Amino acid sequence: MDTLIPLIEAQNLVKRFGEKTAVDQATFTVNSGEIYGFLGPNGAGKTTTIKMISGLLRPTSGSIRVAGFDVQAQALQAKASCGYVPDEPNLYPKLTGRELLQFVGDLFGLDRLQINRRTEELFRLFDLEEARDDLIDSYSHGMRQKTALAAALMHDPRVLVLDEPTVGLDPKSARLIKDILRQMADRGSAVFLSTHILEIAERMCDRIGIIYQGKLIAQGTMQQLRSLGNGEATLEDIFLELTGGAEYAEIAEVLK
Amino acid sequence: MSSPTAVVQASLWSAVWKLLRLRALITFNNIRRAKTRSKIGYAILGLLILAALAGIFIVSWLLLGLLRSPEVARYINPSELIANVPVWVLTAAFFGLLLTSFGVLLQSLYLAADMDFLLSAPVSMRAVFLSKLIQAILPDLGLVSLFGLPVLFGLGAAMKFSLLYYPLVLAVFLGVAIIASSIASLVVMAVVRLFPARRVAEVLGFFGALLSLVCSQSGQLINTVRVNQGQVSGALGSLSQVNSPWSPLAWAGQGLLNVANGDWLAGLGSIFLFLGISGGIFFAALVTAERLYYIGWARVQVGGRKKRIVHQIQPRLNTKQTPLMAAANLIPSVVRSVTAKDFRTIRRDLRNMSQIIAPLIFGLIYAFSFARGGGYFGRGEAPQAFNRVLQIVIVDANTGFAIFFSWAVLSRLALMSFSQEGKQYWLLKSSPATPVQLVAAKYWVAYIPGVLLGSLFLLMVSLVQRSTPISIAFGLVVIVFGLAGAAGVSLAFGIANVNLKWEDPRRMVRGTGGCLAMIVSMAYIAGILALFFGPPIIFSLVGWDENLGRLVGLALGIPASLLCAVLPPRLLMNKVALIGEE
Repeated sequence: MDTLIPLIEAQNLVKRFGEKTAVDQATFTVNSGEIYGFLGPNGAGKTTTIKMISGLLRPTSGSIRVAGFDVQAQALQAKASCGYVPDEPNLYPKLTGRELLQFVGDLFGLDRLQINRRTEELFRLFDLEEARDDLIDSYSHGMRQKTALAAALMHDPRVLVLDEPTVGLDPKSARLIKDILRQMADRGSAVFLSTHILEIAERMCDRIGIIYQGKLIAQGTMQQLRSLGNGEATLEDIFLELTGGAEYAEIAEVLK
Repeated sequence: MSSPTAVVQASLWSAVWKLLRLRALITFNNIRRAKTRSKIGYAILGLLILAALAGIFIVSWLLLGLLRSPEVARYINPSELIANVPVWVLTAAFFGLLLTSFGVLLQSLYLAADMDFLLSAPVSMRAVFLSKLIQAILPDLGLVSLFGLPVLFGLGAAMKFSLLYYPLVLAVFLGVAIIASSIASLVVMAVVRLFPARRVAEVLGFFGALLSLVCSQSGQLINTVRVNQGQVSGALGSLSQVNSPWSPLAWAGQGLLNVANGDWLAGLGSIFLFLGISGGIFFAALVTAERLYYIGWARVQVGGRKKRIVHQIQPRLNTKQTPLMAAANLIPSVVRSVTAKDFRTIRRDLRNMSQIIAPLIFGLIYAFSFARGGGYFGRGEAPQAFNRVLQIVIVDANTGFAIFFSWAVLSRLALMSFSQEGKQYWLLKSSPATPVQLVAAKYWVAYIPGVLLGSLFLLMVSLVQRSTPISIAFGLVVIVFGLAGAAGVSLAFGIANVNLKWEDPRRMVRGTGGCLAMIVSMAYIAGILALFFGPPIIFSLVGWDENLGRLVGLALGIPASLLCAVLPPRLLMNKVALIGEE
């Protein structure tokens, strides 16, 4: 494999909302050709971190570089290199799928021919050809999710950041997205995704980071994470141990 | 730990009571947790409603008391009119309730998204539908009673009807509300089977706004219409048609009059027959609605509905670039695409359109008035200097009106500029679009419709009034530059008061910020018009060349407009970079 190029570099990343510290001194790197899974319980700081990487949220302190560009100082270059898929696919309901992709293509400065070619390719890839001239208003959740991913792929980004990309998708679409992410990584892109589905993280991700109460408490390959326990633990065991498995045991008791 | 056991709500009315209590709790929480100024607003609204009730009662009492006057008897037959008043009021209340219940039921059955939650609970389906219908009936009954009850009570007071008349009026109103809501529940289900509920809500909102505006401006239209006695009699005759012997509403109205006049048996018989019919309709609607919802008829859209497809114009290859296209290509693609996107989304969402339709209606009504008024400037015997000043003032007033109407559209578009992105702002925020590009795009979205509307209005009125080419050209320059400044001022408020957390586009502009923006931009309009039009009027008054005055006006107004177009948004450019980070 080629030399690894760091495409996402977060250094001592902090985000405070008033008194609350959502992300606390997070430091991590995602290299080219790598899928990085970002895990954590609800409210741990996953979405806040993702929003800072995508330039949606300004860090309180620390720095992030995307494709070598500082997200704060060189925001436009960083954004031009990055594709972002939010957890909720909020898209303009009164645009058609095609109009949305053309709009995104314009935002990323693609020329008309590129936009038209890429739009057709992506609609075909995501099996949305029949719905491309319908208003997004009429799309199902899964179709919106796929359209949001298509929009993120319009400019063929070097860095792809996804917040819970498989939520609400049927198995076929979820598989398609997993395949696309793997292909992107194999072509040298960096993929950063958050998920609650530990099986996806275990199977898909080259490295995994676990965030808990704003702190990045563990990161590494599955092998490295296993070494934290008895060497044979599953990701679920490791996750529960690091993020408070005792609480889950109590929940099981209540539901008994 | 012991496991809780679900209890089935066996009693229908106990379950209905619980569901209604839930709704009351939500309403109470909304009021209790509202800001202090909102609570003061609610209190003032309550007092205004009471005042309106008293006002309508007194006016009805006095006006209907006039029916005893022999003067009135020369024009109309008072006894015939009195016989018709209850039926007219009940018929108007019925149609008003039908419309409002339709909106309320559309919201509570389809848009509130709580039906599945409620139906999955161990309460009977009938309890859920019953509570939904009662929720539709109660507020609408209150609203319609606000206008209808004082009129019928005023009639009773004026005609000295018996005391039993008053509680029976209340009972009849309740019956009308029950019939209207019952029919509305079935109509809602039938309509939503054909069209998406959200689209129906958009259309309803649009026509509601349109209707209220037309009603509010009806005085302006009536001023242009001459009505004679024959037409009044004809209109009253047409209204009498609603008092048909086949209409249950007529039975109720007639029953009220019979009771009022001491004919107890006939009166109570008619009223109880009406109330029995309303109960029957309510029960039939309840059972039907429940069944249609449960079997899925009312939840699936069918009926050969065509899928809405927005046809795409395929790019033509090997076509020559027109000068307009070449000029458009000079504008950065981000600015062009955001502008085009905004025009599309605003146009396609009728709830947005209902916000900007108001100025258009005002414009049309005043343009119509001007057109009928013709172009006469002063009387022949007035001093010539006075006539000249009056002529300038009237032509300038046209420009002023044009600016005012287009400013209303423009300021609305500018205020909602960034807010309209709502939850979709992440798309712009995560793209490599600069704040300057975004502000430029939002500026054009507000400015272009405003300037087109204003210019069109001025040209139309100026042609009717046969204004001189110089004054038309001067007016157009004032519109182009004056509105450029207005767009800058309003856009600055749109940036400062950005609100991305709205569910209904009609609520995207916050009250206080929007109000302040209106005051400031209105002050700007007054100031800029004074700069443009002050010099020609003064020059004319002192006997100098008014065209020289116009040049002075342009020299003062254009730089001031351009300053206001650029400076306010420029001052808030840092804020644009932070939008969406709260």
